[in-house]
Amino acid sequence: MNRNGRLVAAVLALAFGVAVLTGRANLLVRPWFATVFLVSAALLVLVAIRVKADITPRAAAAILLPVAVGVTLTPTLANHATSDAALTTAPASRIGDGSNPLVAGRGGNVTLLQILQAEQAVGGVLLAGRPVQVDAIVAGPHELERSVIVCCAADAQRVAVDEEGPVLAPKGHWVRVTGHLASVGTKTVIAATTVTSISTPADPFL
Amino acid sequence: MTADRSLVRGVAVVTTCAAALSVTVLVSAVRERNGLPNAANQFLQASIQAGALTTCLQGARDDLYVGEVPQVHNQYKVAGAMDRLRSCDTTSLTTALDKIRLPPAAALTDASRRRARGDIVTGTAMLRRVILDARGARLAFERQIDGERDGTAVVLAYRSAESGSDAAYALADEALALLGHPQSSTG
Repeated sequence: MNRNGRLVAAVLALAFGVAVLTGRANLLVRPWFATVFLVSAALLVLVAIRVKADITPRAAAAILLPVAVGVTLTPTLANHATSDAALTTAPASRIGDGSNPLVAGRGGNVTLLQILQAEQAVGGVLLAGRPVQVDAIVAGPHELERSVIVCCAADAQRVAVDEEGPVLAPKGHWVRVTGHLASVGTKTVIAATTVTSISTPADPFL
Repeated sequence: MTADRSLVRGVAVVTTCAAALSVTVLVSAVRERNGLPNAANQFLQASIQAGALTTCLQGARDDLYVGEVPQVHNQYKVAGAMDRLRSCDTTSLTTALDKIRLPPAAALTDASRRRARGDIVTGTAMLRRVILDARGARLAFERQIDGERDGTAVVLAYRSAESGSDAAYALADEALALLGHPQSSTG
């Protein structure tokens, strides 16, 4: 029994470590959380070495079930777990977020979340005309979306931005859109000049 | 005897928990029922303030444009538009939006109240955007005053205020109707 408990702790520690090293952790949590995974792995190694835990096979299976989920999860599958309802207001800031180039007065390679956060911070008039390039999923003929997580994949929510210009690829496809931001009424949209299909990125979450 | 006591104790705990839960749900429902109409009315006042801001921004646009052509090389036109833009007061709208006191969402509520709450939240976000756009237009036009000017920011801010205030007014109207306080009956 004691060996069984130690084995479970060791497998969990290994799973946490491998998840961080292979980048698979990004399918479950935000990148800054990797440190927490590594600390957990270290603590579990200590547990495996020093603690004599009495675990029944059923309890062991229950503890290891999330590991099985983590192993079988793919970027596409993780992205499908997102809630259908799009956020009306994007989270203003999250732990581990870098500076937003749009708020700093620049453009370039940005995310849909950064566009929405900049819109909430400075409005659409100041953003109009900024050149942008975004990777996103097609949500409609002229709508782009991404899944945003604040902590973990379990809290994933959709954020969406409208596109003006060429009709996008079929719904669910990943695209890279280049163009500039435009203000239409009280909405900020991406006036696209080019739209190219891309493959699903390793980390589908923002 | 011991089994009876345990049963009584268990029933007492469950009953107390159920009573506490019922009271909490009831209190939050009553709070929402009383608070939402006030919030909807405050939101309506804010949308009316947004209408005043729209009129001011329209004036700035009209000062700068002749037809569809911006008079960016006409010093008098530019100075007039800038003065008008600076006079467009966003503080009143900010104050009106800050006054909106949306009660906490009740655990159990009906579809009408849920939709009315959604209308207020959506409309409030829209009006906050209108304020940002009006300030953004002023900032953009001030930055351009010594360099290459164009009147795009002024037009965009006016369009934002116009569509935002119209949409917010419609949402406030709908929210009040959903809550059983249509505007015709509000003082």
